[in-house]
Amino acid sequence: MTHPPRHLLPLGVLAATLLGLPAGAYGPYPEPPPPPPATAPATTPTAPATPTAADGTPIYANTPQELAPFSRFVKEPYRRFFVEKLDYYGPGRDLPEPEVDTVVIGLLTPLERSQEAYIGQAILAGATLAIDDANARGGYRGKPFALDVRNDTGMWGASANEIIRFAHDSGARVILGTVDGANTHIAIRVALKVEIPMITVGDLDPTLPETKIPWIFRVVPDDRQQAYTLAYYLYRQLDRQRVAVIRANNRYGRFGVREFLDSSVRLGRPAPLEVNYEIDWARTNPDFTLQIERMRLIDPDAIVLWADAAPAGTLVRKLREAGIAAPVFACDRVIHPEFFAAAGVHAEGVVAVAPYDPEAGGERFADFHRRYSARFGQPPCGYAAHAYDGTMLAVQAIQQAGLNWAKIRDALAGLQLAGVTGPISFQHDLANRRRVLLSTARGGEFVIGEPRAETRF
Amino acid sequence: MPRTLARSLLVLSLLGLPGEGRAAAPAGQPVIHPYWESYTRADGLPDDKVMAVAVDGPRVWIGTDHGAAVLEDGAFRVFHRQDGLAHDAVLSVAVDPVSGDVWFGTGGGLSRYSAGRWTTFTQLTSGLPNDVIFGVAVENQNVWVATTAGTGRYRVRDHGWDVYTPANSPQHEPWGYFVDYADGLVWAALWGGGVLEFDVAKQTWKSYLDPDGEMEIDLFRDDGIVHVITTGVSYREGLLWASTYFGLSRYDGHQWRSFAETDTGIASDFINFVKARGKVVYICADKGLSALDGASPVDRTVTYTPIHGPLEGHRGWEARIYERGQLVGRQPLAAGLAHNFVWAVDFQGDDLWVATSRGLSRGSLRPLPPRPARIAGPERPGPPPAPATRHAPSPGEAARPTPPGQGGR
Repeated sequence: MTHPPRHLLPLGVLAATLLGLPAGAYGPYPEPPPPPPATAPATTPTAPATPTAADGTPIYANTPQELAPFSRFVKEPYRRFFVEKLDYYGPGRDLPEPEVDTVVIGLLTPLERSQEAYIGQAILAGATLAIDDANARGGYRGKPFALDVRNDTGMWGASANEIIRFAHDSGARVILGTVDGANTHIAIRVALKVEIPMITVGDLDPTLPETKIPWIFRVVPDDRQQAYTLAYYLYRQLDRQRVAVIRANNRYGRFGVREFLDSSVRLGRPAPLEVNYEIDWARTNPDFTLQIERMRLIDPDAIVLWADAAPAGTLVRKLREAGIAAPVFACDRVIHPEFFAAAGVHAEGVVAVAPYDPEAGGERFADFHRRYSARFGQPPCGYAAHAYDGTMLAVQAIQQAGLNWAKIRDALAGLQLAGVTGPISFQHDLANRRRVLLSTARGGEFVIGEPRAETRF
Repeated sequence: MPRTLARSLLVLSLLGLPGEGRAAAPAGQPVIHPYWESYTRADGLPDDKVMAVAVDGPRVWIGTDHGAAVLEDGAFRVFHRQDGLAHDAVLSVAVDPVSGDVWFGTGGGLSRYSAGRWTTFTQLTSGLPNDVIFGVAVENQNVWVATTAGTGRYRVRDHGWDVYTPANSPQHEPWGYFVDYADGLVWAALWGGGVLEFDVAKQTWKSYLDPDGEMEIDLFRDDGIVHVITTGVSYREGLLWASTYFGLSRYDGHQWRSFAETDTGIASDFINFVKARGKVVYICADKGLSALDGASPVDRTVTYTPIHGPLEGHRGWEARIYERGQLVGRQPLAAGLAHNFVWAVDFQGDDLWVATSRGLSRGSLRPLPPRPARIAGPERPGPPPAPATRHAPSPGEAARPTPPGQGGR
């Protein structure tokens, strides 16, 4: 069995336009579909079920007792939520299938005019490859799958309007998306009213499954798991005392670090500083002057960074140039060429949370990695890989259940997939809680599994 | 008890008929509506998935997933996009009690139906914050909308708009999910932001949040709103009711109470909508309809639900009576609701009009007379008339072909 290197990104050139999309036009790529991969995705029972406490009670989001809210003060809260599997008690399973020539899967993702477009482009590439693979294997009963791709602008609740259009105009059977936590929250409550399945492959907002919507599935482990893993590594393994936080001033940054900040308090090491930066930093504060000054004053023994790849890389470079040597621990978004391009040599040694282990995907990941790299000119990032898996989940659910939304939902809830990112299945809250890893930037790439986190979530 | 009477009650019970057999159900508020009938597409509804209902005197306005309708004199008249409706997915309906104008919150804008004419408001042609309108309410000369980009107020007289977001009201995200008006107060249920109260006279806002601030737990019972994702709100006779997907909360101005499926007997914690009449609140949930008496010292609750559990309505329905969370009586129903997944409710005299995912249901205190099924409007012939359904549709009955133009669920 051959594997690509166990790292997520060789130092590659930035290629914002390498996907070759014409401006304003989003759709399947014009290339002919590649041959079917040597190893087709398969279901597997290896994914973990919802963990339970000693008394058999399900534990939400793998949360240890010492990190549970108010656990130092109250033995048991009046009620704990998300401990029962979400189910849908409405009708619809008996409705006949719609007549279609093409099975449409909607994709809502930021592709332009967004600081998250680099993620959206990767998601589009991963989903496109999956659709082509599914069609190469015969589609759905001979009918091809197709992506209906829409740009997630995030303006005035636009994602709500897009869900309506997916459901009522394009007849999508499943919707994939999106990246921004606010836009996804806006989208999912429309999906709830419409009652259409939605799979998120790029939004790690911990509150997403905390809405109790039985139509929303998340493939990628979330920021809660990342935060817990970092907290235990920093406080228990490294015995750090003063960990400061820098984050983006948006919902991604705010909710990304929230569980880390809460965990710091609950583990007895409250963060001495949380400082944010504006999303238009490149125009208003390209040197991160305020953030650097605050870090100097605080003199932390570690810095946790929740930011997009480019500002994170710039921040690391500015911190080092200012003589601040505290080690940096970051979210998964830094595992991207834009981070290395911005940080330069200062990227070396930065630790990031990796949402998946390429080795867990085995031959499937190797095959995906090879074909993705050949087609798009750069290796896949984690978002591309999870987009591939999320799309394949949708495809498999449709192949299993047909085109009926409620039946697709039911199929998704029970699916277990051996994906390119590893085993995927859904806990009670319909989230895939596969445990995350740590990785370290070495020589222009992130090496997965280094350092070894003794406690992972 | 004389043997003959006992036998009669036993027979009635076995037949599942309401009547004197109600001896099993303790009397009191909320009263049990023992008689039910349902309307579906076969009766002229534009779609079986009914998401909104609003009573306007003798008329019943309905919003469905594929069109709006009004039921008057036993006949439906339906409206679609080509008639002037902003979008066929109608999520909310409100009637102006003074002008009689009907406002539809749709998936593609706000529509006003006034004296037979349609006016549409979208976010591109007006100050409407977003085109997907989860809730609409009429407050004096203003119309309020709950949208994902803010809670909006349309000033009908001067055609102006106000939009309330975190920039000008106490909310951290502008995610409106429902809006209601009563007694000089506008109430907004927010997705992730609890409940907002707007005092019309003072033009001031007030916020109600979950005190524990955590999404995954409710720390203490009765400490405030059970969860910050609120789905509906209703304020009547000094009682504020707020629904969530995690249970129900009530505030009387001094104390909060929370009500859950496990401790009260409401149909489910997953509540789509709530509406009070007097002290009694009606709770629209995914497993049935409940009525709870806010003045009852024992939290008396009546829950209408399929006997054999959700999705089993075709096997029979019953009304369950709870006090202090304990099941104290059950009454079989000769006919139940169209489905256990309930979206909305409104009141017409003693009757209940209930929007479900499989049709519009009417609950009555008295036996319902046979009704002719008619469809008004030659421009919308729809499916051929069929006898009114007086029972929950069986799976076989429900599996009718999806009409052209409907995306298919």
